[in-house]
Amino acid sequence: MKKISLILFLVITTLAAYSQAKKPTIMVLPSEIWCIRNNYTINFDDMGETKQIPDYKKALQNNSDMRAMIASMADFMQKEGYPIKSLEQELKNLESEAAEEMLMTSKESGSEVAESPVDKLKANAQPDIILDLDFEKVQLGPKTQIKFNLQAIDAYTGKIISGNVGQGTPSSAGDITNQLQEAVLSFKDNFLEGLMNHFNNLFADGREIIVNVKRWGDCEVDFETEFGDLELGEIIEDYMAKNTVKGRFSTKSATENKLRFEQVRIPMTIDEGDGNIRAVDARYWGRSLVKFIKKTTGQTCKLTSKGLGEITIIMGGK
Amino acid sequence: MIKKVLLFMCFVGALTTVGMAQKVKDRHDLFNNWNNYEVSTVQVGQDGTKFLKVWGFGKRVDLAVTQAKKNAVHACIFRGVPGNANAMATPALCPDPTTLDANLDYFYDFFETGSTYLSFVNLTTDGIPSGQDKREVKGGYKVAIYVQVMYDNLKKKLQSDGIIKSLNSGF
Repeated sequence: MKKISLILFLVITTLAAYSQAKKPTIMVLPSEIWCIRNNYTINFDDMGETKQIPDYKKALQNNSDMRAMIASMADFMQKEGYPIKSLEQELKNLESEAAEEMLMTSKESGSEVAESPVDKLKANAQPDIILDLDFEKVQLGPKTQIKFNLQAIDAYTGKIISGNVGQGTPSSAGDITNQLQEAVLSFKDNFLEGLMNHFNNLFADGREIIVNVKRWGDCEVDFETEFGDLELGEIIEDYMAKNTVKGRFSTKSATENKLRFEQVRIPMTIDEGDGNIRAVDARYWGRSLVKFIKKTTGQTCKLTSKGLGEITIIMGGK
Repeated sequence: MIKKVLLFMCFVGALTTVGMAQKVKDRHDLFNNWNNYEVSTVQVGQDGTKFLKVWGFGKRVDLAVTQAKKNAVHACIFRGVPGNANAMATPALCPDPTTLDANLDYFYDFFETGSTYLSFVNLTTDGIPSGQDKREVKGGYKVAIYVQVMYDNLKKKLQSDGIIKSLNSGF
């Protein structure tokens, strides 16, 4: 009887763990090259340097082809039981929250850090996976042909999950909507397979993030300070080995002032011990490391996150 | 008397074991024979479908056509279909090579002639193939047919039967 209860408990907890993993959000964005080619850009002053960046609002308001492509993709994702985030809706949300966002930014950073509208969009919508969509109508004599390039990019790491490059059947019928639809159908299954492989990988090996640990200049402890038999840097490395999925991470650099860990695999969920299974993101995972450093060194730490997949912990004060 | 009964039981047991082993061997043979057929994408199919040209071999032409239909569904499940200049490749629904061994009975029933697989072959040139699409070879005929495989329906069937996972499983 005890055995049966134990098996049932294990099955239920396993199911609960799976059901509560954070579902990666997906959003289709017109690619930068497509926006530039079609003049849907705005100039942005990035610390004195003028940069051309995509103007998504203008693109969606003026280009029905792109809207049709995004709608087709949203449709098949919906059929897969996996609705995607609407870029249009996110842009509207961004506009309505603009004033609040500006206030929060200045309060948090207290400095004049330039943030492009694209960064704001990504920060606001926080898609885990960005579908970077580019297509082009090519004239072949009397016929037109659609060439497309869809890349699914993991926003945490910037790695390409699935790349789909191809071209449609040349047609002289002049019905561009059908050709766009054909392009979407052409890459659909390859794209879904790439996504599926990525999800399998996430469950098997965890999410991949980057972790930086630094110290303020006036912090009395550095990463070569010894605690017991080990230096602080080594103690943190041991922590990483114990708290990453299958102990997977790589130490990119380790000096007395800075540690940088890349390809850090964090679990999708963490058992908080009270029966709660909590979905994990980079910042949440970093909180435990902050507590560990404080417990080991007595130093308070500041935790900041950049994008979705990179955290920086600065030791020696907030 | 007891000895005779025991002997008889052993004999029956041995027969059953041999029979079962033969059945398993037949199933393995069925799928092992499936390594050699040709399939290609004709064009991008309508939403949720794949338009393929597939070859089949049989002692008679009708048997070859039946085999070709099975091959089309088999390709979508296990092999994937190569693309062409205007259509991207179709990935296999079960790329994991262990799926077949783990579900041998399921797929044996699935591919039984006239069975489940047929409901995913929607449109075929069901007449007798002719010209380049019908070749008399040693031991029978090799024929090519054009089929529309209901790829999305097939995927949903395998998902609902627990053979493959859906995109949002685990979340």
